Amino acid sequence: MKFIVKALLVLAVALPTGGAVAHAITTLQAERSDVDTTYSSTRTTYTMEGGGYTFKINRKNLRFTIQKGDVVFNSGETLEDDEEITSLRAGFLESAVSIWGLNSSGGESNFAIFDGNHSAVTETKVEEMDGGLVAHITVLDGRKTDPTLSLTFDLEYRLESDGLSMALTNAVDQGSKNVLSAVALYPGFDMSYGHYDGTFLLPDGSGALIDLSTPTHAQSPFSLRTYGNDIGISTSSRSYTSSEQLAWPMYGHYDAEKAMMVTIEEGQEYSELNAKVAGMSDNYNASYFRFVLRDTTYQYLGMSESSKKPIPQSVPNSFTPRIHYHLYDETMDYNGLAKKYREYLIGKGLLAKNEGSAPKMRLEFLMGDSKKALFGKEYVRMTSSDFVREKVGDLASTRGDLVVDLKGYSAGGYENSYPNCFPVEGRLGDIGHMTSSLKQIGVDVNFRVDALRSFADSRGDLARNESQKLIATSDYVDGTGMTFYRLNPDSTSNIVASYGQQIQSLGGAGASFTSLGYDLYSTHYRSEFTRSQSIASYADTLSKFPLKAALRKPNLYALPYADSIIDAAVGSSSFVIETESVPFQSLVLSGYAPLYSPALNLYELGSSGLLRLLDYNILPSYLLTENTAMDLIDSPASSYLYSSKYDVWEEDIKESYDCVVAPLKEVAGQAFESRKKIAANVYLNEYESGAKIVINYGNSAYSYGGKEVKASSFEVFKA
Amino acid sequence: MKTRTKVSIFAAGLGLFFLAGALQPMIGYAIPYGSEALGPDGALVSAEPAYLPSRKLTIPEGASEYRTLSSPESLCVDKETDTVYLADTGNARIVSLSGESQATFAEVFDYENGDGAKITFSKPTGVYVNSTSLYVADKGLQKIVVLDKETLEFKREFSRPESQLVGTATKFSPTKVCADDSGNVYCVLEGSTKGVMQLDDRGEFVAYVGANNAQITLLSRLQSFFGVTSDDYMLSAGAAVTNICLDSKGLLYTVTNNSASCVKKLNTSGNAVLTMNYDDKATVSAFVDDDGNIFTVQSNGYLTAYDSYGSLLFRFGGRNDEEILGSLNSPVGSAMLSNGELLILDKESGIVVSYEPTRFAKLIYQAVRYYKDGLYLEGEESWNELLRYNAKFILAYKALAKASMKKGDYDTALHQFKLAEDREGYSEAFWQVRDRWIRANLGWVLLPIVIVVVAVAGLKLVYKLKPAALSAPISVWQRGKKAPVVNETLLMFSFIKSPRDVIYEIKYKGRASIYGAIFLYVLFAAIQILKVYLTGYLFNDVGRSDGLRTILLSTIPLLFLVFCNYAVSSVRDGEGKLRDIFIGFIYALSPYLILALPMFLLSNVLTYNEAAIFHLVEWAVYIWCGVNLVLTVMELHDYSLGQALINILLTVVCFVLLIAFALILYALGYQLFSYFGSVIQEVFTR
Repeated sequence: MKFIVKALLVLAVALPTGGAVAHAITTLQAERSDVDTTYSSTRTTYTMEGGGYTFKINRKNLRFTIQKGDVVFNSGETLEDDEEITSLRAGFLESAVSIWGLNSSGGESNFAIFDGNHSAVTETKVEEMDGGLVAHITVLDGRKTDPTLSLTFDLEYRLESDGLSMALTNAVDQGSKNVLSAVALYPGFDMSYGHYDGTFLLPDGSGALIDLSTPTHAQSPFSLRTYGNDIGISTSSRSYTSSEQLAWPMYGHYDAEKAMMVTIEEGQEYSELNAKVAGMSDNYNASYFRFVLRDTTYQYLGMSESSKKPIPQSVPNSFTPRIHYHLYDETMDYNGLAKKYREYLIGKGLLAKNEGSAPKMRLEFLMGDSKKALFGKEYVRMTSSDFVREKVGDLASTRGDLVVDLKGYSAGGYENSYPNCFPVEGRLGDIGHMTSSLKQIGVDVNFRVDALRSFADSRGDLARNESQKLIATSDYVDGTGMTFYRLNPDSTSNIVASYGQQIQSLGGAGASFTSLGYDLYSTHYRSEFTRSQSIASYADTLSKFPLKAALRKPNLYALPYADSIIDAAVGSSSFVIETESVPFQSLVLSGYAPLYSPALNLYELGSSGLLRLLDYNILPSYLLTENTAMDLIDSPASSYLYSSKYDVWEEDIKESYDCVVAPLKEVAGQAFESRKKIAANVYLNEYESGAKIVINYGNSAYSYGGKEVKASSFEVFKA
Repeated sequence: MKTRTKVSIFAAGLGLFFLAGALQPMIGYAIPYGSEALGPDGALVSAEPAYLPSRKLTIPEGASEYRTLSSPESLCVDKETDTVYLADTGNARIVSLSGESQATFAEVFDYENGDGAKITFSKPTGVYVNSTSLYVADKGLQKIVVLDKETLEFKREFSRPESQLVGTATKFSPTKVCADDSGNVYCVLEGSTKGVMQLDDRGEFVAYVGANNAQITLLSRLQSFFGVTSDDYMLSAGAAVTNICLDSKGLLYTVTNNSASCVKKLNTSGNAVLTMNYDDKATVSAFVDDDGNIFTVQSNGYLTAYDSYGSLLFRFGGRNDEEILGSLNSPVGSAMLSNGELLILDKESGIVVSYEPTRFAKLIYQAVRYYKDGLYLEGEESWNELLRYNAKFILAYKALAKASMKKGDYDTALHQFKLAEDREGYSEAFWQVRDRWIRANLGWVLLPIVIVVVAVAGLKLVYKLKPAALSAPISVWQRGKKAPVVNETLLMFSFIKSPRDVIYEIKYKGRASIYGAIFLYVLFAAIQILKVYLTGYLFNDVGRSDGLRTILLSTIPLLFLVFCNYAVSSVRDGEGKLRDIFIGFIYALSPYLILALPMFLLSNVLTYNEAAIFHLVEWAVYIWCGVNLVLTVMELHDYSLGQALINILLTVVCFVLLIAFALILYALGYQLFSYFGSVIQEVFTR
């Protein structure tokens, strides 16, 4: 009798609350295809046609081709005479489904259902279904009585108006010996051989390209988990990581004749983007999403590193892996893909035009913190509300478009703030008067808040990980490696609601959220939230927030609620495999949500930094104080601040305004249509209205449109 | 004499390759490491990045049979041509390639020596280039090979020198090599504890220099005394030098990995004249730029820069598992191109990563150059600019303080020296400030003294004459004196005059109460706190500390001593009761209780020039207290002097045992608490 364990992958995701928007965000699944589809079959292939696409699938090995016009995309095929690739790798790239499993000792192994290296029996049956084709697949590997792998599942294929969607459904583990940990669909889809004139587009930071025509020096493939790792499962605390978090579950691939954009429609929060290029371990360029079914945590049986035992996540992630391949039979580069992705997000209701908002300079003020004293702690006032009022007022008289953020305004200072940011510290002066004064001159004041993290383990309803320990990480987001504890999503919701009232009573325009929309984790023990449920809860929380919300590097699910984006990446993570950093994010978002840079007084942008901001349409930010940062030497939460005195940075602030904010006013609220390299180190950026900005990074002047663009300078050409 | 070199037909291709790397804007702005500088309290503080990763130097496809470096162990740069030389140890070859100007690539696997024999490199682990030649240390061949730096043609080779001074057991396996333009060759021999071997230009042995001194611990001394040897003892016998470099003046620097002070600058006599103020034990290599700034590389992925005085300027790096441009796994060497680009060789990844200096680094170098040349005023602007980028950059305050001193602005200098935590400088500035103040206010200085003297004399007279008009306040004072707390506090003054009489009265007449003693213990604790606030900066070695900790650390040992003394005297026929010891011990500290505050205040007007006065008073008080303690023990327990000294000695022994016992109890208690804590957590959470 077959021992049927819990269904591993279920068809529907049960979400708690959060309304229709939240549900739409967590599952971006396409509505049922409206493409009229016709079918035909032979003994070996099944053919489906519709929307201008012809889809042909091999009934046995499930390899397929999809054609539009003269352009053919295939599911992945290695060269027969390629001796460099191992059969295992070839099988992986050619297989319809690749599965990762954990053995009893915790080791992870990969199994491709058609790789020919296993004694697997794979049975497939392809048939028509409502709106597409379905392949029923049965896999049995190893002995029948104690199989390493024993699974049944369906692969569904649907033709869409712009390509193909695919989903893995009805999966049932029939009693595999190995614990299933991950799955990938057609990891070799649209792969290419050797160095050729193609490019991968990755949503890493601002956006990154991998030029496939250039030999790589990288040894490691690109691999990033969408929305970051789940720290609710993994107990290892994060130390210094420099790579950006993957906020958008998509990637692109284009060459001289075709382009492709891949989006995850369901299971984004469990997906991981991978890319490998020719010359690394074989000669193929392939990128794909892997869906994580179980994360692994480690239990230490002794003091040594070797004594740690991997423990797979107890309950697998529940979702339906669903991918949409947007296939184009036309030439386009990352500009074109950005436009397509923008349209896609608008279509999904994730992006709305930000009308009438002028570009602004963001000035964040650290108001105060606490420091060690002889007995306990003493308060350190870093900036008074009068100082903010006066200085910002003065600045606004010549450079009017400003937005102010307040940080560390809580009673007792910054270290005493999160998650309970209110009431405000009395020694700062009259903050209400300051906000109203600035409002009168058109300067909004936001309050920096964080309803996900807590500075101390005694505050808030703290979340626990699967090992039932408090989720705590040391990171550099907002301090010098201080330990931050995480809150349960339902608790976050209540706290954010209270923020709204408090900020309104102080005359604030909105809040700047540090972690909400960025951090995503599951919680366990008493308050249990999966990552999917956390998304729904956060989306619901944000949707109810009554004021403006600035979000720090928001993940896709939080994007609809971001009135502005702070700490936006000004480049990619600089992985060695990447060959160029591009403003893909800005191309998608400009005109829809303003992007603000990290604090320029603490962030090295190099000599051409301001040009870079202008090029990327990212507005400048500063983190400032009235007093010198030396005063924070004994304040652990703010000791990372090494140069913040307003008077010291005032001239730089004005320069940034003139070089970045002022020219971007000419294209305020407009979509960023394209960025083209028109000469070595010279870029032409075109906006919706036809306005153009030429940025010259080079050391010599460049002539464009009858105007000379000086070296290391720019010119704005109005529409 | 031929070398199997491939002087590149890839020159043009390689050029384009490097050009592409050089001209492209940086790929991204994510920096895979943190940067730090030396801040207050000797701690490292966050800093603006000094260097940004810019490109990766690798051998392009098709240029060589071995496209990747395999466990390379050394690199150097020819300052004239910016040619980078690499000891590609795993591939047993020497590689030369252009650093910046995209010229040529060449590799050498073997050479024909003077006898016409063809020798293949075996394990080249060190390379060094001077104005004429490239020196290769091959520990596999046990030779130092000298090649022409441009053609890579063989010039000469050095084998083990024939000299009795070398040592019969010394194996000649050179791992690193350096050579100055005078022909002196220095080589590190693998595992040699004798120091760096110096050879002349003919390969003749000259001397061993820069040997590390054995660091012998007390334990190993005892083991040696009793004839018991241990591995530790053997290991501590002068750690072997692991790497070397030369500065532009030909002075040698040694690197000793895993040593307490691992980078040393040697003078011409071979003696260490400089060690770094933030030495990292993981240091594996070093190089010195033309300004004398010292750059060290740590195996844990850091690069640390010091000025020519050994003061830390900045450091950046750290291990990073992600393959991001600029991250390092196992750096082993570094060098600098003429344009200031920094190259770091990573052994594990087999790559050379190039880093471009930021405006912060350039500013540091510029400012340090002024400072080194004593041009404090000229460098003022640079240092001020530097503080814009990092307000916690301690060295800047020091330099600015010196500039202020030079300008005669001593008040500013005083403040800046304090920020720089430079007490010597502060003392100098304070001397000037004080001198100026005294000159200007001599009259005002003398006036309070006269007033105090007259007031004291007047009060004494009044007290003696007891005029009727002042009978009321005198009566209040007399009644006040009789109040127990005041009376017992004033007993301290009697104690310092005749301690034995006071102890006698305490013991037999109940002259002091337990409450009065407790008040004095509280006063003692309060004085410890006041010490933090009232002691002058120059003499305040307490610094920022935790108040509760200060109180506990001062009073608990005192109470332990009381208890121990009682315990010891109980078994040694002592007569003193616990109560009397408790009271007597705090009265023994009367000199400290009375004089501490004046001492603290005095410290505020003294400089290091008069430090002797302060320390003399300080020690006099301590000795006085010690003598009082002996007298107290004698009187309390009715001991002779000898018995009292033995009693005190045993008290100290008992005290040490009690502390050890308390620590053990704490450790066990902690374990027990943790165990039950985890059990309870397990029960409640599962």
